[in-house]
Amino acid sequence: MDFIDYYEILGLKKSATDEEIKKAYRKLARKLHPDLNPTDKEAHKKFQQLNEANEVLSDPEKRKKYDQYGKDWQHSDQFEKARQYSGRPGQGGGHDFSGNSGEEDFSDFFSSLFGGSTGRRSQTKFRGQDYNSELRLSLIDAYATHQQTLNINGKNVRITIPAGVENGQVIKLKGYGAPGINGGPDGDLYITFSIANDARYKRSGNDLYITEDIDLYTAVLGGEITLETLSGKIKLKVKPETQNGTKTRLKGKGFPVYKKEGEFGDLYITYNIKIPTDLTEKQKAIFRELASLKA
Amino acid sequence: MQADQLIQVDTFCVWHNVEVPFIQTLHEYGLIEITTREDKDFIPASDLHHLERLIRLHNDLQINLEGVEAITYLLDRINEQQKEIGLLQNKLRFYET
Repeated sequence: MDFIDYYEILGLKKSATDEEIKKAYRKLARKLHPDLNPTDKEAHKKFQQLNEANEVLSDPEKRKKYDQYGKDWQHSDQFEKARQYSGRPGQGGGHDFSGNSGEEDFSDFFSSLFGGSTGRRSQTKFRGQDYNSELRLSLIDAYATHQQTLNINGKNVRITIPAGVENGQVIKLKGYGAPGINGGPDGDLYITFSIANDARYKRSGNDLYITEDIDLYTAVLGGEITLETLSGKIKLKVKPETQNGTKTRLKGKGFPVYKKEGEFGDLYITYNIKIPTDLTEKQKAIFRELASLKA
Repeated sequence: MQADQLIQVDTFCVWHNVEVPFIQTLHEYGLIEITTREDKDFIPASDLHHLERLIRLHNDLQINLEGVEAITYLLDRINEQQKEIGLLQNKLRFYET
């Protein structure tokens, strides 16, 4: 367990006055408060350290104990006994922030020195901390509404993932965060979806894009191809004299629209005409003949 | 809006240890919505998270309501911009693969 320099956290010298501590704390709290840094985990961690530093240094008795035993916290029990003999009651007057009132938010160092929660905190009910998690899905997974079981802090939670979720989209699971404090409501769990790129399909919003190979003869003469889509195989007519790179749109064959049942984006197909290879002598002769007919 | 989607202001104030006039002031600043039914004030349950954030900013950081209003506006803008960044990153992925 490492010694924590609370003065350093607050950017102060050991000789700092109560007023300087208060001022330094407020200044840093405004910079690091979780509400102002919702996605910055480092700021949350620093904010916890800041609260801990303030918890100790704003309380004259704790500060005295910290100054005296800080680096030799193992001997603090002796100090405690001496303090009990003195019969002085504990002093309050500190201030800590609502997002951070759980005993578990304090370091092992703090708990060793002060025995965990000090009892001077208010009994105000606080909402538990929110948790953030990432869930990786393939594009195929995101295509259909499905259920998935997640392990959240050792607890299995079955969630329904609606079709059409976007990469980077966040959903909230109410009450699956940290337990509330003093009977307050539990925090929420925020799940960010990370959807992997797909080799065949490219997605832009609700539209899907694919490149489909067609042979030269179908491109020139027209015909019918069977196309694999996320909703199954479909037959598609190719117009005669289709050029390489021609795009065609299949309405409603794209990605499902999030939380709008029955609504889909479009599927855009780009034709890639495959030039035949390994031609036979006869085929070459026919192509030469065609070339000679070219106006 | 269904009745169960509303939280009575009095109940909220007891739970969060804040004064009713403070909630009314937040409403006057246009920071929250209040719905009145049968002479009782309610806040939408969907605004709960937002309201709790306002209270924390005011109480924890001792920021006055003008400051809270400005911070809320800026946080909302950051949130919108982050969503836009996500959208643009998804578009970029489209061209990168």
